[in-house]
Amino acid sequence: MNPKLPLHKRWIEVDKQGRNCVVAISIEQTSDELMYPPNGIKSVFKVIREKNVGTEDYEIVYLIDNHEPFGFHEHPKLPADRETRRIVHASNWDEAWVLFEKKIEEILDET
Amino acid sequence: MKLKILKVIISSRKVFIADLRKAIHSGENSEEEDHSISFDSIENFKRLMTANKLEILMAIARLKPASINQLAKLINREYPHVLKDCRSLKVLGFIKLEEVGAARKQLAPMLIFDYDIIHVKSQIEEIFPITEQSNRVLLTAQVG
Repeated sequence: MNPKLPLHKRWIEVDKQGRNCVVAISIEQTSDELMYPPNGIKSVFKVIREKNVGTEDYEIVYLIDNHEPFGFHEHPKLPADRETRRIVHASNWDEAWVLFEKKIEEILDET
Repeated sequence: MKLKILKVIISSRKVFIADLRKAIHSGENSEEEDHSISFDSIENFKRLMTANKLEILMAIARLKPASINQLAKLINREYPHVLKDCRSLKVLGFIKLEEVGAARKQLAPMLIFDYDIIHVKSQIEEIFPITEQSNRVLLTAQVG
């Protein structure tokens, strides 16, 4: 069964180092099937974190999305390098979510 | 008159992930749950949702400023501080910032959707009225 779209969820937690972290999940139907093949579903999973404790100055530290020409891919070297992408073995948001879930635990529990 | 609600949920990471997994896999997310932001503690929510940020949300809903610059003037605060608060509210999921103007250099602050109140579900429930309509409706409900 598919999720009821759009699905936009946020989770805010203080990590082990006291920095505020935001986990943002967005899955939505678009009309652009070329950009988000095969059915136009755009998926963005990201973790945003304060640069320093208490500053509320945020940066994206991990991102999985699915736009063309890459399909599902992660940005593994954020925040320093925005251009590096790595294709992930996921053919839909469901499989991408499993990878992302592991990453959330890794990032939020990092000491 | 039905008020549109942005729900703030206080729960553990485990519960959030379990709920999300359920929504993704079974399609069981309700309309109400679509518009929710989850925090790990009420203390964290209160630390981040300062009086200044609440004032920004109310000003956006009621006065519809065309830019952050205009918003800063309306609430009589310094632009850099208002910009910082708006960026934080965007990251937290309460507002969106849309590029406007010919050179797309202006940022127009808007509520993430047209919610009237923020309903915080914790051990003690709290309601933050955002729109003028919400004030009227809540007052009527109290009198009634």
